Amino acid sequence: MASGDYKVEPDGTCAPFEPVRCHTFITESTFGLPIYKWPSQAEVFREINDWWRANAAAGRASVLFCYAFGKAQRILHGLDENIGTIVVHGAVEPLNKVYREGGVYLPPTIYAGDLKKGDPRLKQAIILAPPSAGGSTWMRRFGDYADAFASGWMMLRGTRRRRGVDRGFVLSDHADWPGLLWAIEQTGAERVMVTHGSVPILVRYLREMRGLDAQAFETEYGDEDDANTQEAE
Amino acid sequence: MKAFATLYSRLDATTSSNAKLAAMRDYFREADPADAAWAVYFLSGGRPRQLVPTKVLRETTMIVSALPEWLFEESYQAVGDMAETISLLMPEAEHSSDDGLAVWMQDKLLPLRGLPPEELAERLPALWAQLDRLSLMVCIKLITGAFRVGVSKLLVTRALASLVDLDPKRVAQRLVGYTDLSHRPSAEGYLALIADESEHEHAQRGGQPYPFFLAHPLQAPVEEFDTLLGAPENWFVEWKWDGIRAQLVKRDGQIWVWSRGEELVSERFPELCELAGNLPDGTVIDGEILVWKHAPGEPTTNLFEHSDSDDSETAERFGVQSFSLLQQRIGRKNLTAKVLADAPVAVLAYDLLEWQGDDWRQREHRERRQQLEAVVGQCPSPRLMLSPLVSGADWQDLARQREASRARGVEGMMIKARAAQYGVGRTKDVGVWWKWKIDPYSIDAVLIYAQRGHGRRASLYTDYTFAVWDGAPGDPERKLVPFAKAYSGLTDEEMRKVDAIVRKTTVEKFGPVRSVTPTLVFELGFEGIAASSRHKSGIAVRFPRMLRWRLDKPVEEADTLATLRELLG
Repeated sequence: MASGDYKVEPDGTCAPFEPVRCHTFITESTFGLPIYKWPSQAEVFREINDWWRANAAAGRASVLFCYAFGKAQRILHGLDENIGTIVVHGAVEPLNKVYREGGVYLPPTIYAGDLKKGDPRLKQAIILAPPSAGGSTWMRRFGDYADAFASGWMMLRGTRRRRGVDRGFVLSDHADWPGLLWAIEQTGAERVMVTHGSVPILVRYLREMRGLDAQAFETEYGDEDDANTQEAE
Repeated sequence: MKAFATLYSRLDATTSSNAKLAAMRDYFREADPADAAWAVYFLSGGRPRQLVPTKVLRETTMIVSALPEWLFEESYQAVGDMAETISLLMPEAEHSSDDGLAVWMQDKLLPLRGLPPEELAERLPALWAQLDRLSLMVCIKLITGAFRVGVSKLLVTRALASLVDLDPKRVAQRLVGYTDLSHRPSAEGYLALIADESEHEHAQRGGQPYPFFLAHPLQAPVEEFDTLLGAPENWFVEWKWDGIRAQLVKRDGQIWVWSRGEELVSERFPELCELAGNLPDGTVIDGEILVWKHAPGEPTTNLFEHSDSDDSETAERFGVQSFSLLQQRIGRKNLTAKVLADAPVAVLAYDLLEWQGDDWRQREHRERRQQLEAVVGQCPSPRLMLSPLVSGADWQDLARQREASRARGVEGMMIKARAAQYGVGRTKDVGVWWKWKIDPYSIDAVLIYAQRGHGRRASLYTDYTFAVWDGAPGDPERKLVPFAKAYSGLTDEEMRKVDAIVRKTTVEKFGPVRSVTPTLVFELGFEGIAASSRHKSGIAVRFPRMLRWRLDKPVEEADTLATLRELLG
C-alpha cells in the first residue's frame, strides 16, 4: 500500500484519511519527530479568527501566508466570514474555483487584483497569499498590516522567528508524530517503508519500539536527509 | 506564570522597541507587585544559579514521555533549545495553574535547589503538569538560568518609568544592583523602584554604585571626523583598555567594587579593597580593572613599558597584561598568594562620579577629569592610576597613533566629549562617548565540522569549527588543525546556503556533529589571541566570528598555523 502525503484529521475540504489493512505500507515522515504534535484544528481556527478580529478592530489588514493549493482552501473553510472581507492572491483564486465546482463550500472571496489600494474594506480584510508573495511589491497595496504564516513548521520557535512574521499558526497537511504512528498501526502492516522527511528516525523508532520491519525507501526525488528543508510543505 | 509567559511570547515575537515597551507596560500594569518584582529581575538579566541539573530535566522528560534517549537527543537537535524541547515532548497539561511568578519562584522552584535526584524526579512531573506548553517552556528557562529575551535593561527602565511618569535615569539608578545574586526580588523592592521621588534620595547609601555610562561604536572613516566631531580639542581621547569596566565605591570606610554587569566583585579583588585607606569617603571612581605588572622601583611612570621590552620571550613584561590572564584569574575559586602575585590587578581611572559625597555626574567631563587627576594624584597606591589622555595635532595624527594599539595592549581609542555629563547606559542625550576600535584580527580558515544551531538557527547547520593548515602550501603531508568555533556573522541567506553545502558534503556524523569535505573558506575575525595548552592548535582566540565568506578563495589558500602564531606577537 503506497500513501502519498497525508494527514489523519478530516478537514472538510477533501476526502478524509481512511486506513487500509495491508502487509506493506509506504509512509511519508515529514514531521517524524515526537516534538510535532498538532493542536486541534478547531483550536487553530479559533486562534486565526481571533487574530484576524483583533487586527480588524485595530483597522489593520491581516495577511496570512499559506500554500495556495489545499492549505489555503482548508483555511478558507474555517474562517469566520462575519469578521470582514476575505481577499485572495492570484495563485489561490483559480484553485478556489475548482474546489467550489467540486462542491466544497468556501466563503465568498475577492481577488486581490480587483481591489484598489486604499479600498476601505482592506482595513478589516484577511488576505491569503503564498509565502513567495512575502516581501514583494505586491504587499504594498495593503498599507499597514499584520502578517502570519500557517504551517506545521511553525511549531518551533526558531523557524517561527526565522520566518520573520508576527504570528505562526500550526496547521499542516502532513500527519504529526502521533498521526504517523496511528496510521501505521491502523494498517496492521508488518513491513513499513519510510520516505520523505525524518527517515532514519522513524525507521529506528518503528524497529526498536514497535518491533516492525521498517526500512528507508529511496525515491528519485526530494531530500531523503534528516533535513527539515521546510520548503516541503 | 501564565501572564509572564504571555509577556515572554509577546517580547519574543517582535523586534520593535515600541512593541516591546507596550508589552511590558501591559504586563506591569496588571501584575501583582510581588510578581512584577521577579519579572523585573529576569527581564533585566537576573539569573539565579541553575536550580535543577539539566541531566535530571532530560531524564524526567524521557520517563514521562516514554521516549528513548536517542529520540530525545534527535528532538533536541531539531529544536535547538532545551526548555522548548522539553515543553514539546511533555504531554500537554489539562489544567493550568493560576499562581503568579512570585509563588512559582519562591514556593515551587527555588526550593528545588539541592534536592537529591530521586526527590526531583518525583516533584518535577507534578509541577510541570500544572503548566500549559508556553508556561512550561518559560518555567524551564527560569530553572536552568537560560532565560533570555531581547530586552535591554534600558528598555525595562523606560517601561517602568513611563508607567509611573518618572525620569528613566532615576529608575536606572534604583535598579543598580537589583540583579545581584544576593538580592531576592520582593514586592517592597518593586514598589521602591517605581515610587515617587523623595528628597533624600539623591544622597547615596551603602555601597550602591551608579549606572554605567556606555560608549557608542564609531565606524566612520577618519576623513569624516572633522565634520562628525569637530576639532579634537573638544574631546578627551584615551586608550580603550581591554579589561573589566568597574566602579570603585568608597563610603563608610569601605570599598565596594562593581563590575559593568552590576555584579558586586569586591571579593575577587582584595588588593583593590586595600585602597580603602587611600581614598576619602564619598568617592566613586569609574575605571578599568587590568592585570598590571609594575616594574620594580618606578611604579607608575611609564604605562606602556612592556611595549619597549621585546628583547626576549622570557623577560618579564611590565605594564598591562593580556585579557586572558585576567580571565584566568577571574576563573579561580581560590585566590592564593601565588595567583595574586602572578596576576596582580590595578585600576585605570576614567572618571569621577562622586566626590565628597556629592553626585558629580551632571558636571562637565572637563571638571570631573580635573578633580579625578587630583584624587588619583593624592592616592599613594600604585593600584590606582589615571587613564592617560592621548593628544594629537589632528584626527589624522590620532589615527596614526591608534595604529600602535595592538603593541600597546589596547583595543583602540575612546573619544569622550569634554562637555559631556556622565549619562546612563548607552545614551547620547547629555553628551556622548565614542569607542573607536581597531579592526579585529583576521584569518582565512576552513570549515571542517558543523553542528546544528540554537534559537533562530535551530535545525540549520550554523555552528562551525574552523581549521588552518599546519604546513606551507605545497606540503603534501600538511593537515587541517581546528582552532576556533564560530556561529555568528552570516546573513540568513548565507546560513541557508552553507547549511545546504554541509548536508551535501558530509563525510561522517558523530552525534550532532558532521565532518565535511573541506570546501568552504571564511575570513574569521577575533579580538584576542593567546597561547593555550588546552587547544590542539596551541592557540586560543577570543570572540571569534565570521567576517566574510571567501567564495573567491580555494581551500589550499587558507591561512596556516604559522600565520596564526605570528599574531601572538
